Formats: sequence, structure tokens, C-alpha cells
Amino acid sequence: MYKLIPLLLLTLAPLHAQLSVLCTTRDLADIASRIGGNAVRVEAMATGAQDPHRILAKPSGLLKLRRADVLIEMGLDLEHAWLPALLENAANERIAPGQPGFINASDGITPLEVPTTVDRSRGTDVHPRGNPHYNLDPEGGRTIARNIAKGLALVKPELKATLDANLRSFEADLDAKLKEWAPHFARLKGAKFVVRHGWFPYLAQRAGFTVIADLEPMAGLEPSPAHVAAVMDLIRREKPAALLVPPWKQDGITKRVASETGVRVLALPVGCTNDAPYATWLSWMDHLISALAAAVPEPAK
Amino acid sequence: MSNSVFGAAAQSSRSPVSFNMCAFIFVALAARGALAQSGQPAGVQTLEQRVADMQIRYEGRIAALEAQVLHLRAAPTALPVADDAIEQALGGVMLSGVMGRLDQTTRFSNRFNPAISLVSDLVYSYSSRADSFETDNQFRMRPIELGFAGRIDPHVNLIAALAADEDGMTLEEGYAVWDKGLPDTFTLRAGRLPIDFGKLSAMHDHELSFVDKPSTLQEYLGGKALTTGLAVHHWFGVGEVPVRWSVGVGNSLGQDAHAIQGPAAGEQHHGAAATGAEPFGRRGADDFVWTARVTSSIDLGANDDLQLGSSGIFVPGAKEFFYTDPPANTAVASGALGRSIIGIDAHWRHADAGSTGAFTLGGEWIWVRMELADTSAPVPVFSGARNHSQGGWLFAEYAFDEHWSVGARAERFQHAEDSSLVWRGWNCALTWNIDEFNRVRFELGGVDTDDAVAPYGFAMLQWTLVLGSHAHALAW
Ligand SMILES: [Zn+2]
Repeated sequence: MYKLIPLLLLTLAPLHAQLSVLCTTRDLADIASRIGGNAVRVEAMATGAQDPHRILAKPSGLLKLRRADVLIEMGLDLEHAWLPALLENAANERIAPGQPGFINASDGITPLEVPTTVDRSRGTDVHPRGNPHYNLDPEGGRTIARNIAKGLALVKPELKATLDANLRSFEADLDAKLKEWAPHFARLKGAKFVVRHGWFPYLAQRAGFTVIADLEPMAGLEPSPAHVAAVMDLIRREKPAALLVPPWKQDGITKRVASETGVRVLALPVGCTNDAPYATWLSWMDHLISALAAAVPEPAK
Repeated sequence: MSNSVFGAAAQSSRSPVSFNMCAFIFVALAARGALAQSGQPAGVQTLEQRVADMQIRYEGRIAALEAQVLHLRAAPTALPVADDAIEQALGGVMLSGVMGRLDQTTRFSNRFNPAISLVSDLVYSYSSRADSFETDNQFRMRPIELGFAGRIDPHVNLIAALAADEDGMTLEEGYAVWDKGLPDTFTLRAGRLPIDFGKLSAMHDHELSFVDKPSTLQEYLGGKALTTGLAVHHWFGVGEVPVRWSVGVGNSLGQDAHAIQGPAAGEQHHGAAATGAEPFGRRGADDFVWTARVTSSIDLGANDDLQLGSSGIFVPGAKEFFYTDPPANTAVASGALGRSIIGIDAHWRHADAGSTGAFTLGGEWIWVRMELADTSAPVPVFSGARNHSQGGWLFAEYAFDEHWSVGARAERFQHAEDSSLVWRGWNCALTWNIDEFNRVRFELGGVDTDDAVAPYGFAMLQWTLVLGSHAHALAW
């Protein structure tokens, strides 16, 4: 009897054959639902309000992985601390790396900040394969969308026309936004920022701003007092437009740097979240880019 | 259940020829690049440098492989000098086949080495006990734990943990996990296994939030409960709720306590064969230990989860050693004595947004039923009397961030063989995770028991080091 249930579901499947797509981040989930449309049912394992390097592995995640038809990951080792072990335990051949159901959204990205050596004696580097935060870049979103369209078409070739149409519509929206963002990028060109963790190299390259210092001496490492002091000196000298921190890093160190140097702190989600105005990748990018541009003082006439 | 899966150690080594060629071209091009790059912004320069580096590396490799092709064409029967890459690719074929033949001996190579880990744990322990000379107010080194883990073939992982101290080395765990190719999510474990009982029993000491396992666990299970046998694990979903269960069978209930403080402190591998023992006679089905566990983890929103579990260990009627005093230290085997241990556990975890901080509240409660022996008989036999004891602990832990955490634990249990004697204790720990591999902990505690020992307090300073790259797998 128990064995008949999946059989029964299988016979019903062609009627409601939505692909179950599991994404490691909300950014991927939002773009995947744009690309997949009604043909997919999308779920995210984390939001932009959570640190994507440190998602807690939970048994519920195991169950989601077990049931997924497709898994989409950011790649570049962003999820290396928690995903491989869960994936191994989930024992779902459909989404095993190398299978069509496993989509690495970073395919084709040229990673920035690739370390020349990975050495324990230098501390724990959470970016062993280069910077994985390409979702904070308009063109990164385009790459994600294209990889998802390509990947889903491999899983379900009959969807190819729909996926391509949805991809074109997404890229049209993105191109329209890029036109809107052009003045922001113009304003950001040459601006200086201090960051807490390397969230911004892709966007900095795109918009032409400079990250003059990172409060993390190395990706994933908390700063020593000496490092904080050195960054504060630099802030006093260079007067950056803002200190950019993720929402969960508004701690003592951030507050101290802000109060002692007077630098403005911008705490922004580093991916789209479940809540407006950051609920879609495009709307979140919109807010992120406007907020950065707004932090840059009006050029002197 | 293993709590850590070690990072894959496989790395391809570059052949000397291709490396040299790379280095040569690199130097040549780098010199050219240095001449060309002047008066450009630093960012552009670095990027260009990186592109150039990448080009060089790939050109170097291509050149090396072309050289190998030429070499092979020239002397098709001889293996090329730089055969690493090819051998690497053929490795699986070379190593495949039967495990051993009469006319062959097995020669191991470094290729496909398992992940290796080494845990060192040094504790300075102070206590106000009157009889502390042997155990406290001194440095204590836990046996060094040597871990090996690796995949044998597409279906089976092999996991082993050895404990080494100045007296020698003992096998703590050594078992195969058949995790691929079985139906659904079933896995089969076989060998010297940690028993799937509660949340903390199967954990390695270095994964705990306190220096030692709870004293209740030490009293009832000797710390980590182990057996040599088989266990079947399976998990599935009931709606959105994951459920895991396991059943196992083993020869006997073994223990492996490396406790610094608590009822099992100073004892190590229980159940070791006593010298000069009377033979046990024939083994019957009653002598085996049977184990079972069912557990479930429920998400309470995005940041909270609750795990509930229930476990049991049943020994229908095992023979045990009893030591008769005169003549000194002679052991005799008893008649069948039954023992049942039932436990329930609950753990609630709240993770802060960003997942760097987390609060955990957890506890386990254990009931033990022991059949007592009549030791006045020439061969001790079941006296007809049973002792029922129970006890457990409650702990709270708050991790401020990845580096700092505090924890407190309170426990109370009745002695396993005499429920009239109650043991009460508490512990408070401050932990500094300097990084993934280096941890310092300070712990204070107190004990008040109904037996002859006067109430005492203790303090411990612990330094734990982990050698070997690792990832944290799910333990539930
Ligand atoms: Zn990062």
C-alpha cells in the first residue's frame, strides 16, 4: 500500500509537474522564480539578512535537499562550510554535483580576489576560491539568470522556450534598471568606501568606486585592535563616503569606528530578503545602489 | 554517529616537468610584464598580472602535456618521466581488482589517503577533594584522538578513531558506513560503533560545550556508549518534519570515558577482560545488547529549532565479571543480569540573525533498571532484586559569536546500583574558540553526593587543538 503512493503520484505527475527548485540564497530563489515562472516551485535556504557563509545545517535542510528536483548554489565555495555535508547526507542523486539537477550559478564568473596561497598559518579564509559575492553586481545577476535558464532547460528540455522568454524578460528589466542606475554609477565613480568583509569588489569594479580598507584583515577574520586603529587612521585621512556593514555586524567594533571617526555607517542586506523593499533581487539592488550613491557627497561645482 | 566529516584531502600534484616549464615561462613573461606596466593604476595592474599569471599557468600545463604526448609517441612502451598526471588518471584502474592474492602483498600509496585528524586536549584540573593527589591539582592529558575517515568505494565509508596515551593505543571507534546503494536513506554501520543514544553520548569529547560529558552519562553509560556490532539508520520526512531512527545490536555494552571530573574520571576503557577470569560459558541471544533511537527536529521559524529524541539500550541478561576479594583480584562471571536504559532528550536552539550567535537550551533524562546479583553465591546469580535509578541534566549555552561562548549545566542522578544515593553537580564554562583549530576553556564546578565523599569544588583550564581540515556535518 505504502509503495503504491509514489506510483499514484507519478501517474498524476504530468498534470502538476512543477519542478521543486531549492536555492541556497534568496537571490537565487528570486531569480529562479522569474526564470522558471509557473513551471517551478522555489524555496530558499537562507535570506540576505543571514550570513551566507554560516548557514546552520539543520535536519529540515536535509529534508528539503532530499525532496528537491533541482539545487541552485552560488558556488565559488560560498556554501562550502555547510552544503557539501548536508548534500552528502541527503543522498539525492538528482541534485548531486555533476548531475543536471545541480546548478552552480557562478559558472562563467571570473572570480576576483583569488588568494595566491591558502595557508592555515594566516588564519581562516572563508574565500578560498576567490570572492563569491558576485550577487552584489548587476552583471552577476545576469550570469545567475543565464545559468539558471541553461540549467533548468537541461533538467526539463520541454521548458526551454518558456525559460528563454522569461530570461529575456528578466534581462530587459535588468537593462532598464541599468539605465536608471547610470547616474548613480556616475556619482559613485571615484568614491571611497570602507567595508566590513569583502561584499563589494564586483560592484566596486562595475561602478568605479574604491574600497580603501576592510575592517576584516582577512575574509572571515575578526579585526585585532591594531588593525581597527590602522583602519580608523585611514578613515580620518581619506574621509570615505561610508562604512558598509551587513546588518548583523552593527556591533561594538562598528559603533566604535563610527563614533571615533565620525564615518557614516550603512548597514545593508547583502542579498535580497523576505521583506520589502528587499524582496526581489532587482528591488534590493535598486535600494543598495541608490543608498551607496546617496552616501557620496554632491561633487563640488 | 560521526559528528565531523573531514575535508577531502585529495590534491593533484603537479609533475616536476610541467612545474619547471611553468616557472620558466612565468619568469620570462613576468619580466616582460614588469617592463610593460608602468604608470597604470594599481588595481588594473594587479588584474592584468592575474590574467597573465593564469595564462602562463595554463600555457605551462599545455606545454607539459604536449611534451608528454611527444614522449609517448617516441617511446610508446616506456612510461614517461613525468607520469604523475597520467598515473593519477589511471589510478583507479591500477588500484582496482581483487583485494589481495596469494602471490601478492598489499603496498599502500599516498594516493586516495583518508582524511586524518588529530585532537590534543590538555587540562589543568584543580579540585578541593581531600583525595585529589591522583587525579587533580595537576596537568591531565586526555588520550590523543587520531581520526581517519575515507571512502572505500562508491558505497562505503570507513571511519576510525584511535586513542593514544603513554600506555599505548586503543581502538575507540572503527566502523564502516554503507551509505550509498541501500534503499531510500537507509545506512548500515558495522564494526566498533558508538551507540546511538541521546544527543551527547556519541559525541567526541572535543565537540562538547564542557570539558566532560555530563556525570549522569558517565554514571549510566560510562560516557560514550560503544558496542561491536551492527546498526541500521534511516531518516524520512513526515510532512515538513524530519524524523530519524536507528536500531542496533552488539556484543556487549562497552564504554569509553576519558573524563577528567565525574564518576568515570580516571577510568578509561571499561569492560576490558579481567585477568584470571572464570570462563563465561556459551553466549546466548540474551547476552547481546540491543539499541534503538528515534529523534525528530522541528523548525520553529527561521531561527529556532527544537529537537526531541528518545533512546533505549536493552541487555536482556548479560553475564558480568565480579571480583572476589580473596584470592586477590580473581574475577568470576555471573549468571545472566538484565539491564535496561531509557532516555529522553530535548534541545532548543535559537540562532541570531547572521548565525554568528546562538542560544541552546537542552537536557536529557535517563532511567536505568538493573538486576542485582547475589554475590554470596559461588557464582553470582540474579538475586531477584532490581534497582531503579534515574537522573539527568539541563544545560544552557550562549555563543556570543564564533569565538566566545558561556555555558552552565546542572545535574542530579541516583547511583545506578543504589538509588538511595543521590549525586548533584553543576558546571559553568567560558569557552574561547581562538579559531577552528584552537580552543581554550575555563570551567568551574561543584559536586555534592550522598556517599562518603564530602562536597567539593573544582576548576579546570583546558586547551584543545585540532589538526586536520574538517567540516561540520549534521549531528542529530
Ligand atoms: Zn564572504
